[in-house]
Amino acid sequence: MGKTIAEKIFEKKVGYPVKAGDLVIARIDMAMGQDGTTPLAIQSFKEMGGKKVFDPSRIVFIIDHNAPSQLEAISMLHDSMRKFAENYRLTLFEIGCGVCHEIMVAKGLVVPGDLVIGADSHTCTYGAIGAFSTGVGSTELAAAMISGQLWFKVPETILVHLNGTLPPGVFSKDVILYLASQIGADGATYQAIEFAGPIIDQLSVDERLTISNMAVELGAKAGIIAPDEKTLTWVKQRTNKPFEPIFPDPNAVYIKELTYDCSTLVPQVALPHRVDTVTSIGSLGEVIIQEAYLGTCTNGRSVDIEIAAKILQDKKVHPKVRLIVAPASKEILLEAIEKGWIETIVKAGGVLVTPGCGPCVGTHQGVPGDGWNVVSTANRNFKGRMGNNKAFIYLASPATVAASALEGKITDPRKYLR
Amino acid sequence: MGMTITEKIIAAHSGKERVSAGELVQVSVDLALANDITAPLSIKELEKQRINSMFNPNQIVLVADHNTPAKDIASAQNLKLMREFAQKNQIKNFFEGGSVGIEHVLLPEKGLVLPGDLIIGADSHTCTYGALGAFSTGMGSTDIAAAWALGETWLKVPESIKFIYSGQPNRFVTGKDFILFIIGEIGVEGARYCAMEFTGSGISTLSMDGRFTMANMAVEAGAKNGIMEADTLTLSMLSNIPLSRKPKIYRSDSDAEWKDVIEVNVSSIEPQIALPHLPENTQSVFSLPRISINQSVIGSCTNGRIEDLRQAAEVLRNRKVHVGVRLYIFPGTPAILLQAEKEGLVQIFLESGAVLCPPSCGPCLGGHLGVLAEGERCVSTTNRNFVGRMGHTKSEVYLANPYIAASSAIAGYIITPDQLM
Repeated sequence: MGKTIAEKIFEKKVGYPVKAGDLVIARIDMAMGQDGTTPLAIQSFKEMGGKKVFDPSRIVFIIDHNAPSQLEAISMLHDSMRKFAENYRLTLFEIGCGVCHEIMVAKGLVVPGDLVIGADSHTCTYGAIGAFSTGVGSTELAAAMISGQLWFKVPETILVHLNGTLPPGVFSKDVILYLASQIGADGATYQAIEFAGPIIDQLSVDERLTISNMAVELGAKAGIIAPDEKTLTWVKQRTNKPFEPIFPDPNAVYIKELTYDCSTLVPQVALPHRVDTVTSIGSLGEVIIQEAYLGTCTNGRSVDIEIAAKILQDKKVHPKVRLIVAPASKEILLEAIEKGWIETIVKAGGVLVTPGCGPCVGTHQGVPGDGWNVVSTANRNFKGRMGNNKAFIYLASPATVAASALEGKITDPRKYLR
Repeated sequence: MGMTITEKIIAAHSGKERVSAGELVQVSVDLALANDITAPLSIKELEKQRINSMFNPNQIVLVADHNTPAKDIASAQNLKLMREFAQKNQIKNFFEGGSVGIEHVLLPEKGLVLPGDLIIGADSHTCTYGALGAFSTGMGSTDIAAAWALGETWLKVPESIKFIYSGQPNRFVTGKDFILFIIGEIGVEGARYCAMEFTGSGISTLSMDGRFTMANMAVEAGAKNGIMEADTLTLSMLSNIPLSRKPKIYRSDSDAEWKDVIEVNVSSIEPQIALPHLPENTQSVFSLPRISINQSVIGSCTNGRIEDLRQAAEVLRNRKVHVGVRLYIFPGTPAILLQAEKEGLVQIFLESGAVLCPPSCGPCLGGHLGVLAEGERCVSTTNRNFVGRMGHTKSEVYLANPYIAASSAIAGYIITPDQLM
């Protein structure tokens, strides 16, 4: 009987055959914590009597959620992370380096075939390069920092086969939003999803990261894409780490196989306050917006900023809209400067904020006011997500966000891309 | 008896031939500004008084620069209040979102403040525009609300102190050092309710950016305003900007009455540092013991202009920020950000390991974007180092110029560029 990517990665990590449903204790390749969760992990580490970490080269701390800090209490928490990282010789990425999930892949810290945990729900992002990665709680991170291992139930896998060719103006964000609407926010609870098919083949690695990033919004434990030539080239440009890509067996057993044709897909919008309440942009009706946000671990990459800049070129953001732009990393910001995208965005009236999570989690840098509508490239639109439970968040692609910023209402980007 | 620039501007705005120090006068204002901390209070005060019509919407400037982008719901609600007020009253000079810069950097850039103007603002550092030869001063939110409604306010004409700067400045000595040095000499109450008039050949050596830095900190000596005579440099700066009104150039009469005259030879000034917790605690950086830092901030209405960024970049080029130091750089306005990008300064900053932040007041007043933790030390190009100013009451702020802030970020302790290895 064939095995899925998830099963094969766990098998490799535990050293004996496993199948979906098995409970295993597996060695992890990397453990990541950000400033929203790591201070708790440090506290748990101490409570558990932690004296040393299993391997300093396999633990990474990243300050991205409150970067720069907006409160004394948070500055103190940042200092606790710095002190811990210094004591145990861990790598810590400081304020301004970027969003954790971009750093982990772009700096080559995660490679195909890895088993990675992170104290952040969107750790599933690294599935796009063929790793099994998943979000865990702060106490689990603490346990893993001490022991180098964690227990898992090997998940069943849903195969999502994406056929066709994406029409112009439709992006990987639209694909994953559409899948959320079809599968539902709990449609893949504690299951892995393997994304495959011609659509995936056609997407760049950066665009695939958007899809894996949102697997958790379908309830999934992981969202994995089998590595291909694009993946291998991309990874080798970023690391010298040896790695062994894992592919699904041809006769792998899936709990479900779903096939979608994306050739007629149109731009999608997730309505407040659920990621799976998605509509085609044409049937949305008029939604006046007060804020537009481009960035995050979902859509803050070069390809996202490029398409937004293309739409904003020589135009002005609507006077009643605040467009906030947070590149996902310092390197992306530098590239965006070099390519002239930042100049375009600032001239158009966008606000460039420090690379990091920005207002996505509502900690600072763009908290909406009461009654505001926000169109965002982020991955969650739960009530209060951006810091105000009286605001309304609509999720869409970077192109839709840019077009909407120009018109002051949620707008189909396709007319700007002809 | 002649008059000082300050007296002449006040006289011109009070409809009087002449005024003298100590006199209480009613004056018309050319501009009354407020920011996102102070404007909401002004707006609510007007609502309370049931005042619905403003004297002249073009006199009103609203800049949402303090907690931008909104750091929390309260900030977002304040922005909303300002936006609705601006719309209702057709206030065209409302700056938020992508148009926001730091108010005292933005207004001169936009040509909204001119020589000979009388400007009040609900922000202590409104005195900045004195660098253009304007009378400008900070007031409370209710004073500003009244001025919006009436187009005028009342003042006591301040006594003037004349500061004559002579000589050529040393390397790495800037307008920031000129003003820190003098605050160190006279103290934070040394010019209380006085006009500080800066003059002499030393002032002529400064760029407009350097002069704005000086006027900005007049309030740190307790002054009502800081002022300089507009010269050819002032006029050439203004010639590049579409102006909203015609500038009026005033000069102090040779027989004007001065409360005091203080002379400074700038060639004897070394790069200055103001130690915690008062801007008057100044000394030469050269005589400082080794003081390690956790954070360095370059920006603010004091030092967020293009010359400041150029000075920082000069030091940061091909160098790396010390491990354990966070260097935050806040360009004063979107135009300064774009200019810095065009000149390659932003790239230098990022490659050195600095963090680029949006044009705003940022961490200067401890609101967000770089709040200090307990026990942390920060060297900053801002204007105030009071207890708790940038965060925890047990944190420390050292004030200096951009050269020092940049070189200290490299070294990890407070140092001048020429002391860097």
